[in-house]
Amino acid sequence: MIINIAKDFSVAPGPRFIYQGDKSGELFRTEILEKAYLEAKKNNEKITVILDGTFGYFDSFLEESFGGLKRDHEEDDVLSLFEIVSNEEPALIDKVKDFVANALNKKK
Amino acid sequence: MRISKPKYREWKKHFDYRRWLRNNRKVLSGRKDTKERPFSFKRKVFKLPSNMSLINNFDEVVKCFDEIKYLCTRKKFQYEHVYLDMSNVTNITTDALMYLLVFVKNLGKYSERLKSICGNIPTDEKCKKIVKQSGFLKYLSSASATDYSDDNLQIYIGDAVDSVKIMEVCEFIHRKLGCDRIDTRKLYGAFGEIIGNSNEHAYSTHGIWGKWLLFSRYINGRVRIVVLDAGEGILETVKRKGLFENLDLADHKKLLNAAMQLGNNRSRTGRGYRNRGLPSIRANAINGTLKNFALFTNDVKYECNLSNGQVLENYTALNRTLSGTLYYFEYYLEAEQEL
Repeated sequence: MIINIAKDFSVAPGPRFIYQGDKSGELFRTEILEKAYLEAKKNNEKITVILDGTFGYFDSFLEESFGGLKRDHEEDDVLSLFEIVSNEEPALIDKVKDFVANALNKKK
Repeated sequence: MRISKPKYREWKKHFDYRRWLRNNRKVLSGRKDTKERPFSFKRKVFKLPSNMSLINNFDEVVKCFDEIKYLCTRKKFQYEHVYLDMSNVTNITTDALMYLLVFVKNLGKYSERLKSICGNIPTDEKCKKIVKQSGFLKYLSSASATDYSDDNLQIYIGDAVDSVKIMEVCEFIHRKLGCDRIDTRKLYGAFGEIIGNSNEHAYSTHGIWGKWLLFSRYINGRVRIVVLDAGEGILETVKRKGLFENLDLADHKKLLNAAMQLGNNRSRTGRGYRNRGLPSIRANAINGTLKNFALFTNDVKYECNLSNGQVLENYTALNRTLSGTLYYFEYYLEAEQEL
């Protein structure tokens, strides 16, 4: 399964939450990512997420999309089902991994 | 329908005043003594500073606006008609125009008696051009027409995190600097965090009018971007939320420094993954994505510059307090600047 954010969602991804503005991370997670995740989990297949082709990403968009997915499925190893492709900005792959790893961090 | 005598008097007074304004432009532009006015309205002409720039002349500009606000709200004065005279302005930057725009739009809220706010544009040709091309006049009723220039993206007022507007600014940069989408990917992210932060801090200040203002200008191989929100400012927000209870709240430089650092786990929501906007903005200033970065909030200024690979960060206490937050940064291609 392939999700190309630029083609399937927007070339200009927006903020974290729906109330903050259009094309938010919350919208992407609920409309696209979560559905794809559940289907991939059921069929035991991998999801390739292509981050290329957009104007860029706000950190909060990626955190809410991938970190939010981890918070919704705390018990799962969410990242194991994903292959992240980012040739235009390779640092984003580590960012996404970091967001998922710290998604459950609480205030100390 | 008959109207009551006091109401009629009020209406007549205002009508006469408008007619007098139309017929006495010379008086208003300072070419005649303003004392010649035929009736005694509570009218005051305020001269704006000759150097109208928050970035270069912060204290004088903010002091001037504070005085106008004070005189319009004090019961002793309570002017009904305010005239902002910019005829003596010899240097003007768009950040001050944006602040003026917010100030004019909000002034009516501070004083119930205030009926009109008028003004002129600078006589200096260079300043006049900047005012006309900035889009400042679009948001006011003015006899002067707005000019359009290919080197500006005019003042934009937003009330949400508008990713399409950020995309437009990136496209403007591509057009002016001859770079492409991949070059500005990091800038898009950093810029988004700034707009997100402004949108978050400026809640309910403008009501239906908007939350933040954005202006971009191309000059000498660089694109200069200014974002202004007229909220309560970062420091006031930090204090209200009680984010740094262990710090001295009176030391604003330290407070802003703490707000700009990552790893304080200071999210009021109790979620460590939130409230990373300011540290992310600082990180982008340090890594050179936001060049010549400056942030003014309340009475503190933060600057971050890169010089020969060295990061120079500076927190400065200001004598006056800005209502809100101003972000200034530049974008240019390194190779072109070296040439």
